[in-house]
Amino acid sequence: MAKKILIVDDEVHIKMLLEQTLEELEDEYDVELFTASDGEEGLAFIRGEHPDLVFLDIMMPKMNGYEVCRIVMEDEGLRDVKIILLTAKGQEVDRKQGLELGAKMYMTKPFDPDEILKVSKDMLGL
Amino acid sequence: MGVVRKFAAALGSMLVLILLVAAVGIASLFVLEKKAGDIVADSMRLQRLALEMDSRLQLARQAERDFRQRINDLGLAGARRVYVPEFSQRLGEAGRNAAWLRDMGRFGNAPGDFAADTAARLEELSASIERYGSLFTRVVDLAGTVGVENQAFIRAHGEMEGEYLRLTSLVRQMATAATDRARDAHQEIARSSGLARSMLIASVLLALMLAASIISVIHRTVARSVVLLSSTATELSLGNLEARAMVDSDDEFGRLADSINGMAHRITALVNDLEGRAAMASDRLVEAIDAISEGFLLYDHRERLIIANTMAKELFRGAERVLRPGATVEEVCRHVAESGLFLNAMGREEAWVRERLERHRTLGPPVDEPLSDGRWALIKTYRSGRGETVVVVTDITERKRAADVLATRNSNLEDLVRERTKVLVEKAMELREANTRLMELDELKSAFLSSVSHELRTPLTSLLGFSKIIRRDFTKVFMPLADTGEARRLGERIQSNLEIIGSEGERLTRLINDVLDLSRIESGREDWRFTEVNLAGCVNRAVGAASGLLAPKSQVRLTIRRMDPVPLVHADQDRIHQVLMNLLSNAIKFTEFGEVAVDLYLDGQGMVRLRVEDTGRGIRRRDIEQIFDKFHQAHRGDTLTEKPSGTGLGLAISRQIIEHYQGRIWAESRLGRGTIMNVTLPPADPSDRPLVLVVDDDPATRDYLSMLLKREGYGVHAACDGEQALVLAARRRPALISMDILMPGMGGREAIRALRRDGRLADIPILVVSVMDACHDAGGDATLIKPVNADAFIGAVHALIGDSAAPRPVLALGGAAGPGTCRLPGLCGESVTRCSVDELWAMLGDGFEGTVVVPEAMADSLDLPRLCGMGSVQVLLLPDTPADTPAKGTHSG
Repeated sequence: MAKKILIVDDEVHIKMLLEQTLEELEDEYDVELFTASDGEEGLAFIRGEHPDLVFLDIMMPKMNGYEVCRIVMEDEGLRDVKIILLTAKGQEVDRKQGLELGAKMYMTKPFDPDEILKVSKDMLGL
Repeated sequence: MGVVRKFAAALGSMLVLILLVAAVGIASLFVLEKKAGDIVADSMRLQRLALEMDSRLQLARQAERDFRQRINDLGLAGARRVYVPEFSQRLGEAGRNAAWLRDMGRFGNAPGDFAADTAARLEELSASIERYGSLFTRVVDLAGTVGVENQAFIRAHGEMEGEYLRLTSLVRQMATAATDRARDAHQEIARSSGLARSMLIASVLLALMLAASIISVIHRTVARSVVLLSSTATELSLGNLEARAMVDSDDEFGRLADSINGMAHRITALVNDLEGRAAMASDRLVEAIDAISEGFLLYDHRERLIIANTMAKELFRGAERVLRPGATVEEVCRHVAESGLFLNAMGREEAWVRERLERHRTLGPPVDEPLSDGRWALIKTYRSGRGETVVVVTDITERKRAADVLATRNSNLEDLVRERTKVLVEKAMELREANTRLMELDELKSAFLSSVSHELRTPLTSLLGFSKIIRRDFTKVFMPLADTGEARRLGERIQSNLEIIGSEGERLTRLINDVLDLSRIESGREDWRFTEVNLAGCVNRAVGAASGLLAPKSQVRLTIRRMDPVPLVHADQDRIHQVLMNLLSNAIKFTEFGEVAVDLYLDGQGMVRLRVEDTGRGIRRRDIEQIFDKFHQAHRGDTLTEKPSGTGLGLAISRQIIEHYQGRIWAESRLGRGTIMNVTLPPADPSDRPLVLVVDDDPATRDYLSMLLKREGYGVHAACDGEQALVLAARRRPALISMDILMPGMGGREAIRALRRDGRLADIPILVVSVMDACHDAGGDATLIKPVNADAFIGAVHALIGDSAAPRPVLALGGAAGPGTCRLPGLCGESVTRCSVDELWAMLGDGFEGTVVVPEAMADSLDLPRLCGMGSVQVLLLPDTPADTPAKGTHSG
């Protein structure tokens, strides 16, 4: 069964960048890429599709990344969803808060595409 | 002759007189009584002898009677043998008594007839005794020859009886005469001593009367003089300078009277002189008052005019009549008011007068009064010290006219000022608004900086990410398609351009991160973490991470040269890593050949020290402090050709971080030789730090020095006198003692002597800190004079404890052979430059900053106050090493 990766970011370019970065995985492995443009949309997708890995931006309209992360992690059925928080915020408190909510990683912008690729492979066990 | 002496002489003579009379009386009494006593004694003796004689005669008669009666019993011979010797003996004794009396011849002092009578009686008595004796012998013989019955015997016996009777009668007579004599003597004594007593009393009384009369005479004389003098003095004091004391004698009263008269005379002369002068002064004053250009009126305390000058009369024209001495203020005011002179008084004269009086009494403020002739008068009122009132009237007509002109100008000016004020108020409002706006802007700046985080990084993310993807795709897909040389060349250029975009983007990212970091720290929003950090781990990690930077620098080695076990420090591991990375990347960046070496150890002050030493190009001295400034980069010569590398914020951030964790960061460098970056951090466990004992009786000084030392990372103990210092030194073994000299109880000198005597404590360096200029001989290793400059104090402490890496260079005055300098290597490490006095001033002129060590022996040869006054240098006075103590050179850390 194909692995599902969800990218949630309101910034179109970031979304594109991540998509293009991860396309490589689509080509090589059985991976499907999905995108969402805000927190609510992202949460709806997670609930509906149960992705394996989510790249989740924090500052987003409608519902921020922390909120999404919290709801997902509180849901018994979704706890195995691996969430990587992506944000421009680099403060210690932010990092701590994110990890305490149950995110697997916290990556700050600007990030290196190679790093994203490597992390994704690790997370998906590819 | 003086009165006192007169008194003394009179009293003396009286005393002598009384004493004489008393002595004579007492002496005569004594003689009389002595004589009477003698007489009585003689008489008594006579009486006693007479009685004795009487009793012996009776015994003789008894023997004679016994003889006669016992003849029959004993026989004549027996009676004779027994009684005749007895009789002879008793009679002999009586005869001897009479002879003693005669021989004594003690009747010379008795009245003539008594002595003669007694003598005669004694003659008769002796004769009678003899006769009695011979009659008895005859009786005894007759008793033997004729017997006791014979008439001859009886006759002889009768004769003997008669003789005995006469004899006893004689003795009795003598005894009676003696008794009479004694009685007479008693009576006579009583009589004559009574006479003597009355004479004595009479003469004493007489003497007293005489004395009283003398005293009374003297008293009268003195009292008269005193009364006279006193009344003269009283008169003089009452002011009658004509009074004179009329005492005509050569004693003290006479002289006193002369003095009083002389004094009175001089006072009269003085008074006359003073009166003359006063009159002159008064005249002069009146003339002066007349000469002044203002009206002058002087009133006494009863408001009566004393004087009014010509100008006053001139100003109050027509009022001359009332301006005479004695006129009251009210009269003067009323007169001038009614004369119509004062415009303000017209039609309301009474009210005006009341106002004037009120001003006069309460010293109201000066008043301008318009006069009816067009002039203006300014009236001022003053009070003199003795309650007199001075009224000064000034003609201010001219001034008033000028003032009118001025008033118009002023009015214009006021308008102008009002206008200006309005503008200023507006400006102030604007400023306040601007201030508010600035504060808003500051908040905005904070908000901006935090949003920059997001807003700048997001596009950077796209930029960097896409450039990388493009490069990847391009390399993977398009480069293999480039089959022509031209296409390949172009492809390679595109690749390198994309790489530039990537690296520049990364630089931009670093800059943004650094700016955010620094602004967060500076605004105090940084959330500092304090955990116990093992610096050895940090160093290993940082060196490992930095080794990646060496890739393009094949001729540079990165090594951990020294890594001692060091205590943990309180800090944030990530922040320390950040600092280390910054230092290492800087060192690598500026080094082309050689080595970047890292040392980690515990320095002489007990601080954990990190050193990053490189063999790079070094930093110019004038840049060495500025490298810690924001956006400063050393060696930026030509900004057009030399490309800046790094953000220029790294060291600024590092310094903020290190200082936040109570550490210090500084650079040492030699241009072209390399740079040493030093970081010290206090160990988490303070017991590892060297201990300094601060001894001072002044709590403020103790606290100040302790604060300075603690700030440098030393452990501090404090003592307030020598005794406490000795106890603490023995117990805590400090690395250094800062010693005051003048302290209550045991002072500094004594304490230093005691410390030096104690073998275990003798090696502790002592820094004398005292107000006394002459405390170099107190025995300390170095001396600082209060008030102590913080840098000088810490510099001295570092030098004495022997921190080999003293941050500031040291100049030592005097050559290697200079006294005391042999200790310098031990005190100051290797960075000592020796120089002469001239060289010293030359180097100071060239801007030398650091410590100057002056051996005490050379202190006089240079201008020490000038040297101490230079803010850039610390002066350390090194006392001479006494010949008997070994030079101390063992304190290097």
